[in-house]
Amino acid sequence: MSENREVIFKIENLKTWFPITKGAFKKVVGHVKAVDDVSLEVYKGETLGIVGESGCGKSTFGKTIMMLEKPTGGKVLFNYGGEFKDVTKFNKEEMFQFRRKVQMVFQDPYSALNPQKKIYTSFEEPLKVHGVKNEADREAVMQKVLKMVNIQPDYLMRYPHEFSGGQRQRLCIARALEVMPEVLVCDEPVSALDVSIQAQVLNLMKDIQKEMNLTYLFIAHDLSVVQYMSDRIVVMYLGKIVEIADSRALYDEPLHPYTQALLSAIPVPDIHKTKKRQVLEGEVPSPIHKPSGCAFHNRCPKCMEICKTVDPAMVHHGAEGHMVACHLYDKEAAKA
Amino acid sequence: MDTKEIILDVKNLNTTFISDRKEIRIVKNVSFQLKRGTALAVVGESGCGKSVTMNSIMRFLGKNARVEADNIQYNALRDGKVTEYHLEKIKDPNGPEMRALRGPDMSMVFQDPMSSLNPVYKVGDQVAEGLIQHTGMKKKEARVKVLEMFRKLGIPDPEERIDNYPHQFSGGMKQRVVIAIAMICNPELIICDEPTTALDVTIQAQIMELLKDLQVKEGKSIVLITHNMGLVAEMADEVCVMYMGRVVEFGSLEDVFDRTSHPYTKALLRSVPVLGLADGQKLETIPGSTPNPANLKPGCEFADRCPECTAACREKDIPTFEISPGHRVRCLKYKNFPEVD
Amino acid sequence: MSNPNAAASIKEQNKSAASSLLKKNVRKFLNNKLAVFGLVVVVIMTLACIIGAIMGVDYATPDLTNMKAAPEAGHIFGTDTIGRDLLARVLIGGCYSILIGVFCAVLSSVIGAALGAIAGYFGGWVDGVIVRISEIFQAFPQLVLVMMLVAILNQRGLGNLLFIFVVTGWMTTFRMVRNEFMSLKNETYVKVCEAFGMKRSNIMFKQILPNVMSPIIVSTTTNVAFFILQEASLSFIGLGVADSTPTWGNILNAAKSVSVVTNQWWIWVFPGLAISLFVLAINFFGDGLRDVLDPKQQ
Repeated sequence: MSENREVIFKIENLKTWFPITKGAFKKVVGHVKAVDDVSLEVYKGETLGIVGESGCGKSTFGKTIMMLEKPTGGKVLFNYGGEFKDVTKFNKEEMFQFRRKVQMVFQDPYSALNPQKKIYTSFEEPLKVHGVKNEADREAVMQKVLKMVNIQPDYLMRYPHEFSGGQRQRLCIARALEVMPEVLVCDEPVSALDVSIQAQVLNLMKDIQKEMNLTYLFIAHDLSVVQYMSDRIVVMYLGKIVEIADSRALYDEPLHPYTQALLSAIPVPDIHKTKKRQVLEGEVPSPIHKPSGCAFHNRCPKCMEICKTVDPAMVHHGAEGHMVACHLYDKEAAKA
Repeated sequence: MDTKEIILDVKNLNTTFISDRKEIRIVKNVSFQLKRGTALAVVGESGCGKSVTMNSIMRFLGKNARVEADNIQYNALRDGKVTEYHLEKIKDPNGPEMRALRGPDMSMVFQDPMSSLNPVYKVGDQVAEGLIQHTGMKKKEARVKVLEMFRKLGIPDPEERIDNYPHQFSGGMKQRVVIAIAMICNPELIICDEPTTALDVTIQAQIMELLKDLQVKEGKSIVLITHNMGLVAEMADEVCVMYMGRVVEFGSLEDVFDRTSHPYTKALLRSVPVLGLADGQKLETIPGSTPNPANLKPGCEFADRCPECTAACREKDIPTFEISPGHRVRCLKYKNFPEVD
Repeated sequence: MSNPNAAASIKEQNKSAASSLLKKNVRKFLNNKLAVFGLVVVVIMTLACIIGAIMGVDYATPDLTNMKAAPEAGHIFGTDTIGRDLLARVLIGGCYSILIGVFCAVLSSVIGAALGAIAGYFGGWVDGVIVRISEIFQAFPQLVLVMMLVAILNQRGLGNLLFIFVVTGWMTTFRMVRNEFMSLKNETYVKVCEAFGMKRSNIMFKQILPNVMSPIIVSTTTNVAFFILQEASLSFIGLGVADSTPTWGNILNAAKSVSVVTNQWWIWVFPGLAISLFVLAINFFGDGLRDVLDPKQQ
């Protein structure tokens, strides 16, 4: 089905490296390869989930797409009515216009609203910046987005500290929607919320997506949340994509050993599902000193000789659109 | 009651915080028992008082907290003999009686391994400190014990790692060190306050495996404070669900998961995304948000968010009903069952 | 929301629902007795000095028949070594002292805050350069600077002192604001503004600065006290403002001789009292403000 769907984001060989400097002269001694050679396509109207453990570069990836971090290399192509333009080469004005197309919801709703300002001011500023000069017009937009997140307009006159976490996150979502973006990058939008509030926010996000035909990039560490929200899921490990698959396929038939381990590590609130837990040895290596070959090889239960030296490429395997970077599936790739 | 079987018996625990001349009761009439060698999970959202309950028992709260209880009884089993301690009668929360219990008898593992360790001391010395304090052991002997403990907890290269500083450890390894500190004096009761919330899932799996091993192989009694129902299902023998400072449901794992009775527990179980949900299946949501503990309405705290709320729910405090042996629910739906305190 | 007027103006409609931080803060401040005392003393003393100046009390004409007179009906505070009325001198001196304190504190805070904001927000080499400059200034002893300027300009004056105080006084505020900015620029709301494409100057001064305002205000108040004391000590050793301009420190200058200290207590007690009282009151006030404005306590 991916063939006939419109691509909204095309990311090619994206790299975001942070230099590590030492000494008085800031000599660069190495790089933290937070995002290392990532390529993928995002379809219009879908939710693309990005999952991985802390330090896998998923947040940096989201920020890089938003151009909040400067990429070291690669292209981020955005679909402007059929024509793809490279976001990384935008000038100031183009970048400013791009900000209306892609917005972001951040992890921590407690610090996402300026504590010194009334919600009204925080809502008004982005609209002012984006040229809604008339106060009545601005308020009309505010009314509209607040209705979407079920918050009464009179709450606008209060300060952030008077709201609960869930309300704040809803306000943050509403604010991001003010400029009517096409893509919403959500960086761990519910991980700071209480469990009973998470479902509210997740369902709300689903409803809004339908209403506005939004594309979501949903970044989270919790695979069960990602799976609930997403149509397709990208699994990242140490700055690289290890597997891309439809949400269902990833659950039914995970290919990469890391995905399998990740799935089995998630505790299931069901006492009758006895599953064989596959506990991974060791820890995620530091992204400064990545292991040679496949970055996962020193924790992989199915590690082979080739894994220690050769970095596996992404290959198609199984269902359409299911891609994996693992030497276990090299043979099929060779056949095809 | 058999004191050999029960390690911790808490009756009518109330904890009140005083701030700005206002008194706020955070823990209300909490009663539970922990059987020796089992794991009890205390579940609830942030602000439900689960941590405060455990901190009240350990007497870790500051001067602005008042702890009252009919009974907080800890039964130590030493060489086949049971010694009873009534923690609620100990006056000074940091006095010698309480300090003697912390470490050799009961110990605690905190949520954030990053801030549980002192960054300026070697991890080995931090672990050894409890031993030296409580047994008067020499540094050299203590080191041997610490090495042994590191090996048991699966810290690789213990001889080398023992002289490292906390910043040289990863999050999961730090949490192992924190568990080592809690375990070094061989306590019977370990209270784990959200031990894996700050960790990744694959590391969480490792730590949980470790804790389960301690319970099953060494017969430790474990209290696991968590908000993750998945962890509860994996770890616990008994479950205590808390909401706004009250125990709303208490029972065995099967009671709580198979015969879920309190509307809050039901909602909690159904509102969490689970792997492998069918396409298009929607999560149930609990409407509203947790009320402010400073101005609660009379009656059931959950009434405003409860789908099965009746007028009677809002009248007065809800008693606890025992719907089957050991399965207690604080909900008027079960008012035909015998009331227990 | 069915109300058609609701679309007209959320602001107007919901004025009643608006909550005010200010009201809450004022209430909190009023609960702090010491701080209210400080504020009252500061206000009374400042008002007294200003009224004195407006009424044009005579502080300069020596009453030669009445030198070193003890306090009495005609001269409530007595007279100084050449017979000038001490009350008038303390009042007018207060005007100058308070002016020096407030002017220098405000100006050095503004400079410190602006530089701190730039250094903290941009970081990198900009930060490096400004920090180095501030370190150079910090290394200069104030006393030497004052003496240098007096030597170069060959005159002692108010301008000198103000200039020196501002130039050597902005570093503490600078460091504080810089550190605050370094941590605040990583707050999510700053990232949100960046994601909306807001201008950097807007983010710096309209978004982050209000969050640093309270420590700046607090440090400005305590700086007022600091500069008043500084002026007093410089004037006392004769390096402050010209003798013709009375300041609290300058008046004390007359009490440098041992015979005055032992025999004419009023000459040093009243200006000394004025300095101590004002500085103490300002510090009480500053402490109270800190309690109220500290965002960590809200």
